[in-house]
Amino acid sequence: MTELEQWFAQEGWTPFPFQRDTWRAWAAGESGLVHAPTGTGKTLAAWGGIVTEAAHQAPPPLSYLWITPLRALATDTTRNLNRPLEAIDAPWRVEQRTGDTSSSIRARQRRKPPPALVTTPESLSLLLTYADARERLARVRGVIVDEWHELLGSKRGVQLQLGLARLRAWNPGLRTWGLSATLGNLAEARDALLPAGAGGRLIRGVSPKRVDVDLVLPEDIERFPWAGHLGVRLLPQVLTAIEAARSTLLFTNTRSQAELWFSAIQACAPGWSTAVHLHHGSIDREERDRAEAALADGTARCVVATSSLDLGVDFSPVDQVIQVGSPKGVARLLQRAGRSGHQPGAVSRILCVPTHALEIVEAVAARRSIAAGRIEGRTVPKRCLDVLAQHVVTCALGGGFHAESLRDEARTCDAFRDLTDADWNWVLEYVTSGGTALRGYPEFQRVTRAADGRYVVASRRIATMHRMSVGTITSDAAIAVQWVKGGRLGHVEESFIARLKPGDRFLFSGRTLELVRVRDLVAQVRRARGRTGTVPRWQGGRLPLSTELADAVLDTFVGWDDLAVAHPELGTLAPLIDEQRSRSRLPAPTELLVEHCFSREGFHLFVYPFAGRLVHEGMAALLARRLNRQRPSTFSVTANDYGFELLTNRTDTWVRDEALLREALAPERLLADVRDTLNASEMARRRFREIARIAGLVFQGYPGRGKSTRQVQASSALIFDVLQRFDPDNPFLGQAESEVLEAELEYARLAATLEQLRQRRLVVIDTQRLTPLSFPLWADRVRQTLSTEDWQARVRRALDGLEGAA
Amino acid sequence: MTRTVDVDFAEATLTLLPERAIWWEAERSLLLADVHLGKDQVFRRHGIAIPDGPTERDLRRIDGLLAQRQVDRLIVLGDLVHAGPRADDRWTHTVATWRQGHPDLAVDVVLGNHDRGTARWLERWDMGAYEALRLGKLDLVHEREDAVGPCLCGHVHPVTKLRDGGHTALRLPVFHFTPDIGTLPAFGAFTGGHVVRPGRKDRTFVIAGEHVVQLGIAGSTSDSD
Repeated sequence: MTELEQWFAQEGWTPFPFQRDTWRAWAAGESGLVHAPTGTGKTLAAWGGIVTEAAHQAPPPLSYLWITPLRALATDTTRNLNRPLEAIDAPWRVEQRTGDTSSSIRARQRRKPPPALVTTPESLSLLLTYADARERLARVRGVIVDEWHELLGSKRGVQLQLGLARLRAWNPGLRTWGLSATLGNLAEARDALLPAGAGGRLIRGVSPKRVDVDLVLPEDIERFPWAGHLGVRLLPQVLTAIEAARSTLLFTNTRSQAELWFSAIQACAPGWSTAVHLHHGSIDREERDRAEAALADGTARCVVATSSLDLGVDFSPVDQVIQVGSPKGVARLLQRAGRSGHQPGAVSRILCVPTHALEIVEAVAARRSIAAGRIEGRTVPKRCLDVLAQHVVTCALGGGFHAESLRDEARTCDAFRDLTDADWNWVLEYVTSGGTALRGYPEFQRVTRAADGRYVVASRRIATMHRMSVGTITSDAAIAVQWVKGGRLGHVEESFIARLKPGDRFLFSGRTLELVRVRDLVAQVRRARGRTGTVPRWQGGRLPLSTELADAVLDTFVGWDDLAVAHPELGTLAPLIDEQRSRSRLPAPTELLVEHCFSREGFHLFVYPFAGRLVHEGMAALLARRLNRQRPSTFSVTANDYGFELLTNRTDTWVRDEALLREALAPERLLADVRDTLNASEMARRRFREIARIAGLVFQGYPGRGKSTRQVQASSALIFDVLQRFDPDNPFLGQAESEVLEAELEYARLAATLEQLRQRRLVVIDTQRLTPLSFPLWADRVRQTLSTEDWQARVRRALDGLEGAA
Repeated sequence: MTRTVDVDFAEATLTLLPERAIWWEAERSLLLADVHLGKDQVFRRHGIAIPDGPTERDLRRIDGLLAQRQVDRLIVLGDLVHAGPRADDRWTHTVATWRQGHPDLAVDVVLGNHDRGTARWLERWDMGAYEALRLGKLDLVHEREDAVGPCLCGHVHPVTKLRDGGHTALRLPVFHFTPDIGTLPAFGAFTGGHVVRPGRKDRTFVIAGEHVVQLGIAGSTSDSD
């Protein structure tokens, strides 16, 4: 029996078969991916092999790296990894190194590196920039990437792939293990972590925990659902649920919803309002820490959170998880549910709080998908030339490189396995001469070629600037929110504050605030009287329904009558479904439902592809554009997760023509039409911020870092303009466009949807009036054009009218 | 056709040009501010790959302005260059060649904060260097704080934000006049901008493509923030 197994026995645990499996695979020098729901022993599965391997003797410095996506997790992870080492009395300990680590500790770690280091992808890249990187890191024998599913789909994951390739080139025996939550594309996730084409183990953890998806239902369902209408009206039921549990995590989809629910719960919570916390990405770090600490020590009754708490699942389990609003995706709901019932084998339970009636269908659809194991995959990014450019400079700093060997090394990464010579040569030219092969930029210097043919960074200044800019995380410029008299509340995005005028009120951090002035990057506020205000709208609010969940919703409509027996919640929707059936019909996966009707406003055309909001926005704009080419007309466009509306003049009834619609929804010439419809260039210009920062085209420096860098500060938009005018073929411009099309309208999904719609039968129905499906679209559009009070009143009137008629 | 606007300001009639310059016909003077020549070069020296081109283009734009009218004197209201040139900077030759092409033109530079260390170069380029100038009843300065009376100045690179009806906002350069301070937009192609919030007595003229349009006048949009 190994020391590790003895420790397990002391703790009263028995290793799971998958843990033994992983230990054996580790000992055999294999690499792979362990996937399991959170809180089921993945950490010890991966760590156990190392503990056994180095039980008696401290391994040489930097033998093992543990990569975590969130530096806030590093402390807990380090503690968890040290526990078995302490228990078996191993003569060494794990240390951490992240952006939060103090410079004195970093200096000590440089002098005397620990045997194992917990760090982030960014800190690993930074380690690779030191001239002696090879000497220090060539001994790394094993890397474990925690929460790989969080990194996989982003440029941070790509950066990590490149970093791992570097370590592997120095030590071909390197073992790499990823830990992942359940995903739909696990083999792809494993392949992205390991050398291209190398295969590797895929080890499944304890069989999926049982997950119960329950629903809070309103007492009476309105016949017509509309976005956000049920809203906080379910508060009494939610309060009862919170009171019945010791601790609750309440997730919302947007920060604005989080603010609303937090204020509502705090205002109504009897006696425990101080045990309610708010956690989202814009709130000050300290306050988030307080919420996390309260979760950890069990003093929190309820934490209202957004995806900011989706990570870090390995610590602080709760009794109960509540999801407000659409789950948006199956994997996301599973992940959130996993925060409760943390013991292996226990049941995870998530309580869904629908904010409009169709979200009841979504919750049931998600429940069915979970039971059937249909879960979303994550798209793995390819060909990120900006990340490659940054990595090339990193390697030039970290001891230099030979062009061909670095190119071949990059090709061992999944993201660059199809890297063309043309792309590689351009990246190399970009960092050496500025990027134009023909003339080069005069006096440009970043990476230079040494006498021995190695590419290096000669200038100290450029080295410092690069080290300060390593990483791929960018965000909209953050404006600090603080009291006029000082005292910081947190951050909001610049685009939000830009819409407010001094004197405007908004909810933030659970308080109603009045904007006093904006100065530099600080918004000064004071407490406002009364509780009404705008709720900040952050970018996060636009997450679309996933393909898997949208399909599952359609599927639920197909088998409605049978399903309503197995899932009694659906029964509450009976009046609504009957109404939809009598006026129109239920959407089906084999059909594309189109409804039309007249109103005082004009002629309405409603189309329901069920492909998620972003795709619908793109498709609506495309349809309007193409119909307009047939016959000039004015359209106003609204989209949600189920479909979209085109509103036009009463006389333009020709738009319902089936042949015309078919033609206007054809996938041919999609890119060209999308380009001129959406002003892709202007959108790309705004998207360019991220690419410019990663590729080192904008340099932000550190505040107070002095004049030496102020001279080279320019906005990414300005740089975009200059490149477009003077170097229009620069590949970063093209990259910005394809990224913006993907991010803003899920271009690939749009193309796939159009292709698939071609196979569906078009069903065009004159519905005379609004239907349960079209009503939310109508209400959304009205909301966009009216002030809040008008909107509520008008929707109420319309609803009364429709119910009277039904 | 381009559209210019004539503005009466401190007893002078100034013509605001969409090329981001002012034509003062009575003085036969062309006024520009914040050209920032050589800025692309400074970026390249720092390892930031900005293409070669903005400097050349800004000089060609000045040529275009000179060709349209009989200009006796070109006055730059500060920040002619982005940083003092180095001996081996190629763009200094571009400027020298440009200057030789206009032997009859007087060029005067009011020194701005970026012009420190350029005295030698201005002399070589046959340009006058001044802390401030006075023309008619107007002080010509770089930063408004340096003026005694009514003035024309640069330095802030004023722009305004206009909604385009959709979700986007356009940032456009403006001429901004308070009752006694006129601020010119930055002339340079590679310059950013600072959003100005006009007071009630101010006049703001936005450069929209080839037109100069006064904001807040009937028929024009005036949603500036």
